Amino acid sequence: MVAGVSGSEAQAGVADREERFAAFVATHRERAVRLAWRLVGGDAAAAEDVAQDAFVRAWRALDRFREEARLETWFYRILLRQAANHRRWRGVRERWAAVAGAAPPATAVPEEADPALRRRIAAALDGLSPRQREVFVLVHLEGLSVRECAALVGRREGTVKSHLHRALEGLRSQLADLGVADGGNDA
Amino acid sequence: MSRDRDDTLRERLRSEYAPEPLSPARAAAFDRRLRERVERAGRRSAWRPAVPLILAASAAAVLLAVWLRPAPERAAEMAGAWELELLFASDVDPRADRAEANALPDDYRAIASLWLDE
Repeated sequence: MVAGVSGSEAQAGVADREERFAAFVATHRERAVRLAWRLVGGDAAAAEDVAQDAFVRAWRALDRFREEARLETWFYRILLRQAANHRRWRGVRERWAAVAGAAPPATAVPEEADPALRRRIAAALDGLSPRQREVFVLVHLEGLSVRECAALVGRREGTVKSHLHRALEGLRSQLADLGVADGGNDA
Repeated sequence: MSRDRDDTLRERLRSEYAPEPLSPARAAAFDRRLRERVERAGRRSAWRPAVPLILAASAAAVLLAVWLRPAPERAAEMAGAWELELLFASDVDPRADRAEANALPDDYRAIASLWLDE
């Protein structure tokens, strides 16, 4: 005999789901926005949009993942994909704006930061391949281990190391002054 | 030496290339917007189970309409039959004409006889 789900049990299930989601958002909000911000090139509004898209997808998929760790890995994978999609569409918009003769959309930079330095870093990261940028941000800026990063991007550890090496070479050539211990010339 | 420079570079990138932490107000706004989006997504997904049913009903209606419509060959055939009937219609049968004339009232019959020389 199949047991029916009573109204109160269903309501409890919904409440439990909402509570679980709220906890997940509270735990990962800051990190998700920061990671998205670094991946989309320092645009705060775009970073929040990307993070929100990933959270909405996580809400839909919540029932598929009973284990928090699996949901987390899946969520960050979605976030990486959303950020890559955002960059791709922004590239299309910028090319279109160039063809149409309009000014490209400006990237918002908070007033507290050094806008020139951030733009330089964003431009240097922009010069990397999408995969190099992803692994560099995950490992060197977000502090993931090579193994964690490999699991997240679905590549072998050796491949991740190779991307990291090339990414660092590229950045070193463009941001050599930042590698000087006293800070060098920021502008 | 180069390793130290790389470490310094990484450290500077980590500290310089980071957004301002979300203030409590921004975090609350983020959560509020997210809640609205989740609710909207929930409303959309409530319709989702009905979509296959609507598609199946639409497909059935289209198939039924196609099935009930006369085939083009048959329609042409019917039109051809009418045309042939008109083209090869036999001359008026005088007996039938007379029988029809007898069915008329007397006044009409008298007028008809004047015109038709009967």
